[in-house]
Amino acid sequence: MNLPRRFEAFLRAAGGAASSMEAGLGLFIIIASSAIVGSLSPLLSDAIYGSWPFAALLIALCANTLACTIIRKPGLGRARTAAGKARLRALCVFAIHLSVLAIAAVGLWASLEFTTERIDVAEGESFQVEGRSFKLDSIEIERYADGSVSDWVSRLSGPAGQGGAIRANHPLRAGRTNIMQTGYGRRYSLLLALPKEGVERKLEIDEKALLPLAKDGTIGIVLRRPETGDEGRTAELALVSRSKTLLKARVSEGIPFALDDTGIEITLAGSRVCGSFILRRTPGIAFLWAAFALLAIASSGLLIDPASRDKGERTK
Amino acid sequence: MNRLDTLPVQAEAILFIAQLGFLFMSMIVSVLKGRGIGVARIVTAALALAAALASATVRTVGAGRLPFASMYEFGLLLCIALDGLLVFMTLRYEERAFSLSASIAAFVFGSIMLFFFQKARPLAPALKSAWLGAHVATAVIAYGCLSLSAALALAGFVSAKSGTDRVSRIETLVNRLIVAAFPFLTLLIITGAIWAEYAWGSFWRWDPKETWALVTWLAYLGYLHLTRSRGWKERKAFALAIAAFALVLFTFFGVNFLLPGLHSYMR
Repeated sequence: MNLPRRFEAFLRAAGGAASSMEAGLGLFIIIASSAIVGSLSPLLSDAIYGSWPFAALLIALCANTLACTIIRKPGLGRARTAAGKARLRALCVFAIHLSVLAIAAVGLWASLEFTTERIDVAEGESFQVEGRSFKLDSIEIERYADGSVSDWVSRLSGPAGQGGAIRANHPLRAGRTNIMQTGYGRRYSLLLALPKEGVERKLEIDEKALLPLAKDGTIGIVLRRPETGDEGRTAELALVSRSKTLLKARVSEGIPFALDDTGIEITLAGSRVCGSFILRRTPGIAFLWAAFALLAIASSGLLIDPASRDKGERTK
Repeated sequence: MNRLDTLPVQAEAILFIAQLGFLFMSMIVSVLKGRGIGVARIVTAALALAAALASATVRTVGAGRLPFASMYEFGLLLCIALDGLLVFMTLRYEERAFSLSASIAAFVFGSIMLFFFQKARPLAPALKSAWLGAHVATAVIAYGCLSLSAALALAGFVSAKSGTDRVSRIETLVNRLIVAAFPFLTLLIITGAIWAEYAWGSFWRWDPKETWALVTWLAYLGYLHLTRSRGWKERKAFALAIAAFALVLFTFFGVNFLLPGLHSYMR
């Protein structure tokens, strides 16, 4: 029965190699090098961190840690023979391996199953989260005495007192979904008119969004908040064609602005504050925090020092 | 700006420079031999720590918040950690090389941070979080221990002859400092991930700072494996500790200035 023995030997060798520290260290180096390359520019970042070879490397490292934990049981051998502090420390080494595996497993689950949605909501508008309706009451900018921004605050009202304020570091929890604010701007109401032809059209446009004036979309207008002055009643208007700005002007509420020789008249009819929000649901996040806690406690176990004194220490 | 406005800024700058002066004196007395030098070493180290603490106190009172908001403020806290370690080493160990390495590390780092000195600014909205204190505190402890480990590793790598009692003492200390830093390095990543989940909506985004913190963690994980399980000693272990610290330096300085990302407000 040579074949089964050879197969068994092959399995042993493969298991040994897969669980070896050398393989793990090799993967550390390759993953670290790839991660460094990815950090050099956003383009490289997209190309590397989302690629299947990088994912394969991370999975290989997890497999190596799993094999090492099952086959070699790091720390457990010493825990059996040692006593006292040394035993506790050895158990912590094993717990570190377990917690890294738990983080990898829960992190993988969370990264595969999470859902994220971006919405733009103007003041007074409502949106749905897990079947509940929330209304954006206001967006305020809190400032320090020197005028710099202290915080952005979005106030939401929801069913049965579930509303509240969202701040830069404080999302609002609605069921299993976190509502986070990501941006702030204005939504403008415009009146577009061709007086010679007696045509008038009312429409709304978000700040920085292109409003096409030609059917092929090659020419259009973009509105922005003014750097100075009343941002509620004035706006910076730009006429753009293929990313080139042809004209810039400040428009004020209620005053028609004639767009050069086109015959088009634009009137700013009003504006509302508009917020961008992310609705994010990350399953298993509580398990991830638990795995983090295990890793924190276990790695703190490394501080347990079985040796009593160092060589060269001052004697009392 | 009137004189009263600039007075705290001048006071904290003077105290910071005084700290560097005491560290310089600590370096000199660490080289000298003779009666009373041991006391002089402890006194200069303690004065450096007191000056750094006073500088941080003036900034805290002036800004109305703890100094956690900028690269300089983080550097100031790191100086306090390094000065504290210097006092600890001087009190605990008779070996002059230990206090000399610690004072050189603290002096060089403090001198570099002097170039980043800036007036306290209000806290940016992104930093207004309960996690800021825990995140910065773990970074300060971890980077403080690792800075000292690298200085000692460099001393061991350059000066000591292999197999001597002295090199063995340096090696033990380097190892202990890295072992002490590792849990805090781990906590640094954990607190950052939890904070990121609430601030950015994702616990991991491969932001350059996150990525380099992970690379640094992997490097020290490699150090612990190689020294504990593969018996890497002396020069090999020293070289690895120095190389890993180079990653810490890039994570701290390089990422802030060369790789724009979500941590750009730390400049």
